Amino acid sequence: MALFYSGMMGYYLTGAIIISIILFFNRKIWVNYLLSFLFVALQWAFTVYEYHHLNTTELTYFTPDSLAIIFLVILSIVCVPAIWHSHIYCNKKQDTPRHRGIYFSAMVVLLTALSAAYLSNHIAITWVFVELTTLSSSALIYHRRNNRSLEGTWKYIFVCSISITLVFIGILFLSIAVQQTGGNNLFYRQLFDGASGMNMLWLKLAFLFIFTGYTSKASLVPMYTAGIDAKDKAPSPASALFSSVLLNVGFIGVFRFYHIISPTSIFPWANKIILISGVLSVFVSTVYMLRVKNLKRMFAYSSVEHMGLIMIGLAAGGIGRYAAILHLVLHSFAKPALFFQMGQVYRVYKSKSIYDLGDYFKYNLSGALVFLFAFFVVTAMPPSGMFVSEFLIFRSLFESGNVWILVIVLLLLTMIIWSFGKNIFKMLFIKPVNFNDVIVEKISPVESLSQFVLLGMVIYIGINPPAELVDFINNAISNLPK
Amino acid sequence: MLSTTISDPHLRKIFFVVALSALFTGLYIIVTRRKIITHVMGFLVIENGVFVLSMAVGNEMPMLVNTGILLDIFASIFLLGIFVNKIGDVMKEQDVEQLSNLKD
Repeated sequence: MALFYSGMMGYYLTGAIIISIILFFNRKIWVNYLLSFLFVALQWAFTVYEYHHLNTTELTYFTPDSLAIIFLVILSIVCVPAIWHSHIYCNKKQDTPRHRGIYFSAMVVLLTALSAAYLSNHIAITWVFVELTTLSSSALIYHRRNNRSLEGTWKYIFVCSISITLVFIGILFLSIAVQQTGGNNLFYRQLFDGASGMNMLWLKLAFLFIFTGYTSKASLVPMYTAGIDAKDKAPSPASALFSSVLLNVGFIGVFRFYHIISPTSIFPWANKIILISGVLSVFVSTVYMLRVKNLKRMFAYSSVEHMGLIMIGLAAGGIGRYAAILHLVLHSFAKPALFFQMGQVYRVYKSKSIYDLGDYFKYNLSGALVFLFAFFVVTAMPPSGMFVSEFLIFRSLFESGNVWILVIVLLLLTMIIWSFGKNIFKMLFIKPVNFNDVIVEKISPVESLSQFVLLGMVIYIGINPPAELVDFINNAISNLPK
Repeated sequence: MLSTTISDPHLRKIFFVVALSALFTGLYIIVTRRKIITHVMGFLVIENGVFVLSMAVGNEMPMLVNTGILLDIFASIFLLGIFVNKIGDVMKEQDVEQLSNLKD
């Protein structure tokens, strides 16, 4: 019963587990609606409570610090349209009640595990919940139940399990390093305090393993492959979650450890590793985006590019760290909009290949406007908030003396914008070949509303960031050396 | 050779070396074999290596954390088993060559 004396966390975890179990066994559609509404209410109550209880530890292992709160608020905002679009998706597809139950149950587990992973203050607890996100997202990816989604699921679960095992090996190496300072617990706070007394060899090994492991979640270079297939094969609302809040959990895993080693002498070395990974991510995503023919995969590669930029900003230091987290926030609002809209495109054309799409303005005016608008937002053209954050990242690269890297990244970005624009404009304006438009599904403009709101938020936050957000970001990076 | 170069009072060398070799064996099995079930075996070899590595480290985590880790690994192996069965139902040969439809 000690669970309930320590604040909201206990209620949240038990409530979410009960909701997901009932969703799993329930076969009635109105119960499904009711429970998903209940979960959203619970998620929001939890977020508001944690927002007002900053830095108070609950259940020993959960502390809402500023970075955790930023991501928790993002998650609560993104989960509302995600659940709404999931209901639309399941209704259109006429899912059996059983499949529908499994889908929503897995989604609730995924969102809960993400929230808990953000808030955790112990490195192994973060690990446990990140592993739980892999397991629950595999059920979401397999939702279509055909050969290709089976392949995507298998690759995702296998690659992610192995990378999460690598993270665990990293944690074991870290615990060797911890023993040398006399302590034996793995709370982030104690690790940060004791880091400068640890053996640098073990700390370096731990960093390499943990970083490599979390790149599978953060869609960065060594392990990005599984995430691409997963985002391609999952239903669009689930892909929207994978390319926003799930990337944040990868980032938080990397950032927490980055924070631990920041007072030690290996910090410049770690910055180099992160910079290499970031530049390679931008490079790899450019190479694939120039030849990719599947629009949904192109959006997935665009996430790789943005995560690469974020890592470059983090490694460059100075204003770049602020810009990196701001960019992450904006990216987690912009990318779901594209993926939600992609679900509607698939319903119109029954295809995701760029060869089959075209003349989208004729079939779905509001959806086409979303794409046009999202193109400017995601490629960071001036009204978009991402322009501000990318500009600051480039400034920090310039200030830290990495001019050549800046030049390379800018060249790669130009190619990305070209291929992104080529595909989007082909889809919007050029007539499709062999497309029979007699039985095209009409899509209500209301379904595009959430996308406009999300994209509008990207512009608003970029131009006029709320004072709380700025404070939280500055607080999250305040302990890092200048 | 590794065990002579590393000298650390907190590390039990024999366990450490066994753990590392199990890790590399597991990765080697996964990379070189073609059958899907063998990939799962390779994954299990890696997990066993991790277990031995935690013996080498000799640092105990809190009970609650250990329970979470145990449950997670159990569930992941369980899910891998389910999906191996599904792949077996859909495809005649359980060969990774058949899992190469997703590409750009």
